Amino acid sequence: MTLSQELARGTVMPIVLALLHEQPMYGYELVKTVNDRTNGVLQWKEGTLYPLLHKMQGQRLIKAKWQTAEDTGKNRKYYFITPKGEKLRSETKSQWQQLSNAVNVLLALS
Amino acid sequence: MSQTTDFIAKITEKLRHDRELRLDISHELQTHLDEAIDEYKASDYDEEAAITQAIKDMGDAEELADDLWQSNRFRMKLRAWCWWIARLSLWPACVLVTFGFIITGLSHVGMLQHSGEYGEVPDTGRFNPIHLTSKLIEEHMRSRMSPAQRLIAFGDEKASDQIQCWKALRDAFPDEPLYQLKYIGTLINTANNEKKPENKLVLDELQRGRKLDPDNGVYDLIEASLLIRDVKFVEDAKQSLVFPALRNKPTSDPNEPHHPYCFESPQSLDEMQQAISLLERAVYHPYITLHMMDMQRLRMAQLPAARSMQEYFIRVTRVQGVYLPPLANSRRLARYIGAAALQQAYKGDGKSAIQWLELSDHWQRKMAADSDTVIKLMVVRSILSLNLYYRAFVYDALGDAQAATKAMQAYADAAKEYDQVMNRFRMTDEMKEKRKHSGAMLGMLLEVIPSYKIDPTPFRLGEYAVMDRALLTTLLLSFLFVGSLLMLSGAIRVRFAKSTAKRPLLLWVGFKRLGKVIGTSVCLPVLVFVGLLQTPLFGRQWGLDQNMGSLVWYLPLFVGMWLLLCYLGIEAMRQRALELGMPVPGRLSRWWLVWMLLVGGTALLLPFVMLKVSFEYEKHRWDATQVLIGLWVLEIAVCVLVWLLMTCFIAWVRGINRWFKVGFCSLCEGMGAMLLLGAAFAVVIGYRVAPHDLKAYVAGVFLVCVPVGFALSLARLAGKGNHYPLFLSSITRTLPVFMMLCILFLAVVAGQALQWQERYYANQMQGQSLIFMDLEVQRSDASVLRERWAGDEITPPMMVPKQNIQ
Repeated sequence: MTLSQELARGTVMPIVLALLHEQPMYGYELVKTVNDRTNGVLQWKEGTLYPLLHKMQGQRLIKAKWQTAEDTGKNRKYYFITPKGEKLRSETKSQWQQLSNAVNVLLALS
Repeated sequence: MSQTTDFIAKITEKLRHDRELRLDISHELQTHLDEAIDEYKASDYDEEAAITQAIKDMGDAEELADDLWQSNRFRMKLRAWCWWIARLSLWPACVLVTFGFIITGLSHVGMLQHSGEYGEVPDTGRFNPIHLTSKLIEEHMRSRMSPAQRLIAFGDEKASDQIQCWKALRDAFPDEPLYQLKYIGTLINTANNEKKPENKLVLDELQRGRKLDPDNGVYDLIEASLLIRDVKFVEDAKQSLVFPALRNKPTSDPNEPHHPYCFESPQSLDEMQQAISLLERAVYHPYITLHMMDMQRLRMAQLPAARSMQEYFIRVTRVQGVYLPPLANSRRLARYIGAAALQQAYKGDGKSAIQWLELSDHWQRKMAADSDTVIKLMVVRSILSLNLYYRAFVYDALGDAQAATKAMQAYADAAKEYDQVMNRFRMTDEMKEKRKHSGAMLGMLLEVIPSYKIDPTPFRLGEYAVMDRALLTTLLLSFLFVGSLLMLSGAIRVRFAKSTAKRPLLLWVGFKRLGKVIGTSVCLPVLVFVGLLQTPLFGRQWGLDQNMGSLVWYLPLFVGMWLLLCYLGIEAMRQRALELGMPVPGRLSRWWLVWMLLVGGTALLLPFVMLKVSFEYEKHRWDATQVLIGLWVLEIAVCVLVWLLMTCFIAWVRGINRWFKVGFCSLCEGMGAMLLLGAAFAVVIGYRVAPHDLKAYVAGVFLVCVPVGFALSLARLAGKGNHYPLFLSSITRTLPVFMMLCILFLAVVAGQALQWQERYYANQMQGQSLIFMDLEVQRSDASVLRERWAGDEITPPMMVPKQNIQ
C-alpha cells in the first residue's frame, strides 16, 4: 500500500525526531530505518530528507557532526537531537496521539 | 562515479556562493550515494544500474536543488555576513590593538629607563623627543585634563621657552601669588642661561609680588640674591685669612671650607650691604616662602590620578621640577653674607659683622622651621654650619681668640653632626639590600629619600607588569606580522587561481575546535606560565633591574605558543577539510615529531640564550631597552625570515621560481638551505645586537630555527607529488584567522589583566604619598632634627668683645 504524499508529508519531522531520539544517525541510515520499520509503507524519496534535515538544523532542533564509523571506517555526517528537538518531539508525540485517537474514533463511527 | 558527481554538482549549483557549505553538502550527498550504490551492487546490480538507481532514489534533481537552496538560504546569508564582518573588522582591529600595545607597552619601558634620570626632566613635562611613545602617553594624560588644569600643571605648552611658558600661567591668574612666584622663580633660574632676563624685569615682577603677597619676605630675599648675583669674589689663596688654628692643617677633608671668600672691590661690599639690608627686611616678615609646596600640592591635585607606572612617573617628575632649583640660591647668598661679614670685621666694623651673621642665622632658623623635606633641612643645616665657620674668622679678626676657638669648635661639632646626619640618610647596607627588592624607579628614589618608610612591593611588581606587557606586545606583533603575510599570500592565491574550484577556502572549523586550539595553544601555556611566575624560580622577589635575565623564560613560552597554534590550527583545518571531502594529508604525526624535536632543541639552547640576555647593570642605571630591542630585533628577523620563506613557498607552488622548487622539494636540501639562511640572519642580527658577543649569535640561531621548522613542515606537506594543493592554500587563508583571534584574545584577557595589575600597583604607589615630598620630614625621623635646628641651641653665645663693637 502506498500512502498518499499529502498525508505522509506532516509525519516526516516527528519521525526524524523520534529516530534521532533513539540514537544519532546519518542520512542514509534514517531512510533505511524508516523503510525497514514501516515495511515500505512510508517510501521516502531520499533526496527530500536532506533539505528537511538542514532546515531542522537551522531551527536548532538537531545538530550535525562528522564522525568516522567504527565498523566501516567511513566518514559520515551524523545528526543528533538537541534539547529543543526533544521538547518538540514530546509535544508532537502527544499531539499525534490525540489526533490519532480522535481520527480513529471518527473512522470507527463511519 | 562522474555521473554522481555531475548529479551532485547540479543539485548544489544554487549553493555556489558559499563554497564551504556546498562542499559540505556535496560530501554528505556523495557518501549517501556511495552507500546506496554499494547496497545495490550487493543486491546483484551492475555498477551502472546501481548508480542510476541510487540517483533515481534521490528524486528529481531540480526539485531537490530548490529545496536545498530554500533550506540553507538563511544559513548562507548569515555565514556570508559573518565572513564579511570578520574580513572587514578582524585585521584592522588586530592592527589597532597591536599598535595600541606598542604605544602603551613599549613606552612604559622607556619610562623605566628614564627613571634613573627623573631629576633632569624639566617641569614643563617635556621628555626627550626621541621617546615619542612616552610623549604620546603624556599627551593621553593631558587629554584627561581641562585646558586650565594643563596650564597649571605644565604651563603654556606652545611657548618657545620656559619664561614664556610660565608667564602665560601668571597672566591667566594675575591675582595669584603662587603663579607670580613660579614665574619669578623661572626668571631667576634661567638667569644663568643664555636668555638672561634684565634685572629691571625681575625687580618689577618682585614689586608686583610684594603687592600681591605683602606678608611674604621672599621677594626681599630674591632681590638680595639678585644684587649679589654678579658680585666677584676671590679665594684667599695665600691663606692670609685662614684661621690660625687651621693654617697648618692638611686640606684633605672635602667637607671643610678651608678658604673663606672675600670680595674683590669695595663696590661689591656696598652691594652686599644693600643685600643684607634687604635680607634684614625679609626675615622680619611673617613668613618667607616660595610656595613650592603649595605649587606642588596644586599640581598633584590638578594631575589626574596615576593609572599606570608611566603616569605615576610623570607625577614624580612634576614635583621634582617644582622643588629642586631654588635651593641653590640660598646657599650662595649665605656664603656671600659670611664673606661680607668677615671683610667688615677686617675693616674694624665688628658690630655689623656679627649682626649680619646673626641675621643669616635668624633667616636659616626660620627656613628650618618651615622645612618639610630632608634636602631643604640639610641645606639649612649646612648654612648654619657655614655661619659658625665665618663667625670664628670674624672673632679672630676682632682679636677675640677665645671666642674664635669656641666658634670654630662649634663649627667642627656642627660639621661632624652634619656628616653624621648625611650618613644617616645615605644608603646603608640595609637600604642597599632593600633596593634590590625595589625595582628601578624606587631604587632611584631611595637614594633621594632614604629615610622614607615605604613598601617596595607595588613598585617592584608594577615594573614587572610593565615589562610583561611589553613582551606580550612583541608576541602580538609577531602574530600580526606573520598572519598578515599569510593573508597576503592567501589573497594572491585567490586572485590568481585558475578556476573557482581551485581558490583557497576560508575554512570554518567550528567553535568547539576553535576553542580547543586557542585554549591549548594560548590559554593553557599562559596559565601555566602565570602559575610558575609565582614560584621563586622566576626570581620576582627581586627588583626587575636585578632580574632581567629571567625574562628569557618568555622565549620558551612564546615559542611553545607559536608551535602549538600552528600545529593544532593546521590539524583542526585538516579535520574540517576531511569532512568536506577535500584531499588532505594523513595524520601530521611525523611533523609533530619534527616540532617536538625543535622544542627540545629550544630547551637545550636556553642556557645559552640566558647568558646572552644577561642584565646589564651599571652605576645604578640599567638599560631595559637594550635587552628588549635585542629580543625585538630577533623577533622581527624571525618574521622577515618567515615572510621570505612563505614568499618562496608561494613562488614554488605557483611554479615561478624553479631553483627554489629544486632546493626545497628535498627534505635534506631544504633543511640545509633554510638553516644556512637562518644562521646568516642570526649572525647579522647578533652583530647588530651585541657586537663581538658569540652568545647573541647562538640566540639568533635558536630563534630562527623555530620558523624554519614551521616553513619546513609546510614545504614538506606541499612536497613533490602531493595531492593537497587546495588544503595547503586554504591554510594560508585560515591560519591567519587563528592568529588574529589569538591577538584579540591575548589583548583582551592578558593585556587587560596586566593593565589592571599596573593600575592597581600605581594606585598603591600613589597611596603611599611618596611624591608628596612635603610629607617627607613628617614621615621620617628628620622631624626631630627640624625641631632642633629651628631652635637656638646650635647658635653659640655672643662672645664679641665689647670694645670691638662700634
